[in-house]
Amino acid sequence: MQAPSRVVLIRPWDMSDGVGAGCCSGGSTKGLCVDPMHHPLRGGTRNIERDSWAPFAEVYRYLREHLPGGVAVEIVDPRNHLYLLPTLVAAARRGGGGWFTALRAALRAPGYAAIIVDGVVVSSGRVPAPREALEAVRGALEGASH
Amino acid sequence: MPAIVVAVSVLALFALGFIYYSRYLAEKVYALDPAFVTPAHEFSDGVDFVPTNKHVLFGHHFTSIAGAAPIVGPAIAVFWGWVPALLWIVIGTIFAAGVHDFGALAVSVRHKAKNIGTLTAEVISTRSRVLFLCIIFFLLTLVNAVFAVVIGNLLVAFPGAVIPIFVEIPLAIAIGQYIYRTKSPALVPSLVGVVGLYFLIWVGHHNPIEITGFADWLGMEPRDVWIVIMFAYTFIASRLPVWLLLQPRDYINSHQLFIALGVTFAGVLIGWDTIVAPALNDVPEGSPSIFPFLFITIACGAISGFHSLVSSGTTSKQLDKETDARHVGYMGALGEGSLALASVLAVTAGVAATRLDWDERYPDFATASGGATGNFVEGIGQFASNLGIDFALATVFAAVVVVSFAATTMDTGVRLQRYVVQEIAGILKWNRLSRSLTLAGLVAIALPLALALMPGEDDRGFAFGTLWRLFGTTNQLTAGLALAVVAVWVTKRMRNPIAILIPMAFLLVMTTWALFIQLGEFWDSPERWILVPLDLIILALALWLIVEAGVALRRTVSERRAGTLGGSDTSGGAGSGPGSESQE
Repeated sequence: MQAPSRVVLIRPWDMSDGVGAGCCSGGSTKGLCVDPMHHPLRGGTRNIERDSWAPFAEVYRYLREHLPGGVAVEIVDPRNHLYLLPTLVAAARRGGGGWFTALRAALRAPGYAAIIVDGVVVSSGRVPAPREALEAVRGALEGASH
Repeated sequence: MPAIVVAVSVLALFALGFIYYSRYLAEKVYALDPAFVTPAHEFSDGVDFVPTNKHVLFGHHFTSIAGAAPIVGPAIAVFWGWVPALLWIVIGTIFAAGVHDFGALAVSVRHKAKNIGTLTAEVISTRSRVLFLCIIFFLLTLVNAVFAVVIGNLLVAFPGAVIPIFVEIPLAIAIGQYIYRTKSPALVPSLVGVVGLYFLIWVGHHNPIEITGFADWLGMEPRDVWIVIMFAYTFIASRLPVWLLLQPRDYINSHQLFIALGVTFAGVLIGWDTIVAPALNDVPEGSPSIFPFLFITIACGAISGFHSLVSSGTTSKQLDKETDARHVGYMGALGEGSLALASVLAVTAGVAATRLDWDERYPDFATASGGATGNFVEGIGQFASNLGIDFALATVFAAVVVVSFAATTMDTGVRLQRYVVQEIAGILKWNRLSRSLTLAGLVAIALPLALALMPGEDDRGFAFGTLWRLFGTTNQLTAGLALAVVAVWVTKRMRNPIAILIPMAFLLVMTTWALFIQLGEFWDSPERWILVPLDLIILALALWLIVEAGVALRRTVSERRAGTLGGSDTSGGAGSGPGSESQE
């Protein structure tokens, strides 16, 4: 049975969550933020530190809404190398490259706001418009199925 | 006994804890439901609420909770012998930390991923929100004070670390700017940063910087000069955007964490070092007693209240399935326990070749606590030398790892304290303070700076040991508060809360007991009278917490008996979400 397709969105560098300060930091400002009810869905005020995240979040929501249920869409922090490297190397290997080619592809893939479909980078370097992102992902999924 | 035997045994016990005890918690106590719609799905927004693969989330959770504190506590606590320290790490991790971290995550997920401060108000009482803020204020004050002392001690003891630590700041900014401007992948530049840092370690090793002359000119101890410099630095750094310095340094730190763990366990395996510390140490008369002080000296690494902030603040918003909480929350606690294990091995097997050497490093509590991080650094240096790395160079490497973590913690700690100060000022309607970043920042650093500079009986360990115990006490109080929230929630769900009540009661007894003993000590000591009000305030918070938790539990049990809880255990499931148990 073929593995389900996986779309990985690399969280942009300036949206990186958590600061690696250890348990005494509360994980991030979200752990102990000024107003725990900041989320707009709860009627709270927004956390201005994350206002600039909106365009990327919109792409994520649009993809989840419009892609078929069998396609996994996930956001991964760019510093999560322990997950990204093996996942991307394995995807590139499935694509038919040698180990060295796969490793090189895996190292290059997690660029700024990159969108990676089954190990193939379809967008990187900027946050695309939601519709544009969907077309790129669909193109990659269709290309893979042929 | 060979350290590797201890390491393998402890890791095997952790594995058993995960396989059996966490399953019991998941099925019988927290009653996790794979079909429950988690807040990550309910509010999925791509910003805070993002359903995330459990392996991805575990990586994020673990790197968020792992830091310098699980290293320092165990490095002090082996003063009572390595067996009690290790027993508390193993039992505490499996039966307390796992329950706490996992429970905070589970209860937050069932309450729209609200953080533990908000849940305290909802589940226990509205007064508890103020209690929570007060505990956090003192906890952050003590965190910033103790880590400033840790850094000061290490920069004095290992002057080779000065150049890498301070050049790491512009290095991290340069890497951040490069990635930010070119929008390139971060792995290679951050690895280049690590290589650059290791080159700086070599440079620093050959060019140690001591500031004795400068300190003499100022009429201060060198350690105190470093403490002042660190607070000046954190005051400025905490006002910078996180992406400019904090995050790029985090990239370097996350590589360092895994490199240090790898070096430790590989060194233990290859070197086959033997534990030379006594199993149970015959401590000198007048030392702090093992009960209750062992259980507050090792806070992080056995159980840490701060983890509830991570679990309920960040992780709960990203949990894909409710059942993933077991993998992420419980396993995260085991990861932290593994760091504590590494620390114990470093200071019992790595740091000394014979019992005599070890006794010289741990003759009394003041020396043991003051020298703890130095002992850890030298222990890791020994493990690294088993791998063929020069011992002196390896100690600078280990010192840089600890100082980097401690500095990042201080940076974030001051930033968070500023938020807390602003929030408390807002409640008190002190508008000028609540709106001024500079004023709030100055308040945030004033008290910890004063505590860190507090004179002691000698220039090395007295003040640190005392502050560390107060820090541990406050951290355990936060854990007690989180466990109280979890216990009330579990009771409401008609489940047996005994697995939560036992660690909660144990922690509250140990912390209040320790606070009473310390109060007597501070009262009798003319040099430490300044700590009397601090101890009294924390004691009052502890007693307040016990009363609040007791009242909330009693009320819940009464409601449960009267059958007026509204069947809160029956909801969840695929159709749940808004309006069901998550709103209980």
